[in-house]
Amino acid sequence: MKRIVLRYISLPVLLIALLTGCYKDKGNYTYHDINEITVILPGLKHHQDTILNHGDTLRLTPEIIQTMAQHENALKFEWGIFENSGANLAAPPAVIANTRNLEVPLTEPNFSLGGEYRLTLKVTDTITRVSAFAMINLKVLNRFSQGWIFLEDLPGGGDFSMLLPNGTLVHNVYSSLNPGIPMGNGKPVKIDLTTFNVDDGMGPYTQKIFLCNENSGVELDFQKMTRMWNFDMLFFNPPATIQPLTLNWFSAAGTTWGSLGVFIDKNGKVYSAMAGGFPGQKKFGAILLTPEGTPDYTATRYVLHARNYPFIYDNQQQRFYIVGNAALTGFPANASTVADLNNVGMELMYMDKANVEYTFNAVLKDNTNTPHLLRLQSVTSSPEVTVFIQPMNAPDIIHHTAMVSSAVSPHIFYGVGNQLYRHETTSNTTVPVFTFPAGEELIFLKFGPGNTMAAATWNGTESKVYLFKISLMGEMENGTYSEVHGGFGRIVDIAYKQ
Amino acid sequence: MKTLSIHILYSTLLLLAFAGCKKSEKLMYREDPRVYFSKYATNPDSVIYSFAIQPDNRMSDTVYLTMRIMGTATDYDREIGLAIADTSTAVRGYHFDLGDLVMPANQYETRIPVVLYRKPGLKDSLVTIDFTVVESKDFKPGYDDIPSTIYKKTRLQYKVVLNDYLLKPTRWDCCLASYLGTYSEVKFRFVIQTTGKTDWDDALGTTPGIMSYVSQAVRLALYEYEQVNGPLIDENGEQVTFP
Repeated sequence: MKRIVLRYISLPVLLIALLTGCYKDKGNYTYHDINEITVILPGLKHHQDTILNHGDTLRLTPEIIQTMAQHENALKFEWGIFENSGANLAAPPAVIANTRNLEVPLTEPNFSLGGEYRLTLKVTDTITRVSAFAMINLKVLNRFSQGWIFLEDLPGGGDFSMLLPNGTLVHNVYSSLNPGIPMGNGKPVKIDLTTFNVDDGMGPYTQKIFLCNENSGVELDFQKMTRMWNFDMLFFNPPATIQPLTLNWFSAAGTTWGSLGVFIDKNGKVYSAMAGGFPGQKKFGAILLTPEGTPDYTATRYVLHARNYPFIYDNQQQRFYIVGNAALTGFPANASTVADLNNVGMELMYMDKANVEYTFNAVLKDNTNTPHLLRLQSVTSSPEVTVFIQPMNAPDIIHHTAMVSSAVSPHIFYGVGNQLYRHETTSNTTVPVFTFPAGEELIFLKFGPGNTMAAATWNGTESKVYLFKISLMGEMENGTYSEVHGGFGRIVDIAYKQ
Repeated sequence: MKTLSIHILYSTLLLLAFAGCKKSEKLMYREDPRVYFSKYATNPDSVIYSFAIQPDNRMSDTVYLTMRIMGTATDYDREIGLAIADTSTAVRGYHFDLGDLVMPANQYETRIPVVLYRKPGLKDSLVTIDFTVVESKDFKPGYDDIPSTIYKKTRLQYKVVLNDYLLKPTRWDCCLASYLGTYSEVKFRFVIQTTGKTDWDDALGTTPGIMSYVSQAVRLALYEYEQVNGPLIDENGEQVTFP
């Protein structure tokens, strides 16, 4: 019997077992439809940044499409986030809710100011165990990402207010975002913003915002508006005293990044910093010398951007300089036919962009106090920089208390006391356009988006801001302002953040 | 006898049946572990070290030989073979000492310290240390060079040049002259004294941002010097200027 089992049963079984490995699977299966899920977050697109305000509540009602609707009660929800800024990708994802709809405050510990996150919704059919996903990218900023900024000199130190695009005016923005950290040493002087990113190796590659004070300066995080560091950090070898008039970054025509920083101090001395995509430190160095190799100059606070270089005006030598990464240089002889840019012989009162791209208005006065308008240009077709120079028919402009050049129409607006004037550069005529209430002195003018002009006044105790809508022809809409806001300390500078 | 044959047959069939269950070894290429000098813009073929750009009280300093391996890292330290060629004029133990010739466990690259000593004779002469990668019990020499006629570098030799007098940086003409102008020893010493920089042959130490600062600083320092002392004249009788 044993031999029969061995010979006639075991051997065939073993042979069959060996040969089964040669069997080709013909895949004869039966497939069944399962519940398929699609998740949509209405109004939001996958992988597209959605900017939200820190402190707000995020409410999302997902739309869930199922091929078998009877599974509705079998769905399981999981809302998760993880940091998506690239700075901390190793951080573990966090589950913030398991509800069908999301309602979560954008606050710590899940959401930090300035944080970038990927929010995912995972919907799982617990019967089939099949999941579907939706995801969006979130940037949690504060509500101060855009709007007018009014730099103020307050009894307790410098601060700024913001007028937001929705019309909300918020005072004490700096001190509320930087509690216990004074803006700086001395009175506030100027606020400088870039409209382009700067790769200076200091902080993130973003736009820049600098606050200049009499005896210090501070750089803010552009998104959060929180203090990052003092200006000392921006120098290879910081000067003994930091007394900034301006910290201005230049971006060449056709580029979208800053390449040369220009720092001018209270004594009119200029420092520069070269930036770009190269490695290593990119900081401000030593005082730049003139083409004659001396530091004998007094630059004004105005830094204008020609196509390929920034340039400044020196009220001591009464001439222009191109700012370089190693020194100040003069203009070549063929750059000017109507005035010697290296020896203008007048005192600069104001200069800024004019109404044609890469043209500039410089308002000067000669030694008889006669105002002159020097029009400059920076064009690729000609080395000629000067366009014309002419005495200005502009009453009392040498006593101006505020001035601004329009980048849209051929006009310069200026204030004397409580009177606002508009000078037309093409016809060389000036007309009064608005009178502020008695007792209010016009102290600052600035153009913003939509050709809106902000005018700041001071009555001895309070600044007010008037917003005027100016047409493309330079006309004041309805002959008056569209908005007025009060409650400011003395405004020393105005900028628009966007 | 017949029973024995059946047993042999069964055993053979069983062995055949289980032979397919054995996990085959992955077919991997195994190369000899090798080691070579890692040479890029930041650590080129040689380093010229001068104590002249250091403070007077600095009597020793360290430069590093960066070495990389070919093949995979191991979980134990391995010995690197380095020979000092007969062409060397520096004396080990007098002009220099060498750190441990070891590739640490789980590492693909290491920096071997070469401690340099400031000796009186270096004031008027230079000495060299010519290193060559040789076979050790753990490594064979790595590859010899990049087969390019433009950018050819041997990766089996490395030279350290040591002196105590100012030597024109090898990168002056290519990379520093546009900021500092024509080389002179007086000018170079003035630049060093003004900026405190010593890493003139390091590309990362002479980036455009840093050299812009150097250019600004030396111009201002020269202006201040001339206000007090008059023109600065170099060893060739030329007035020191910067472009």
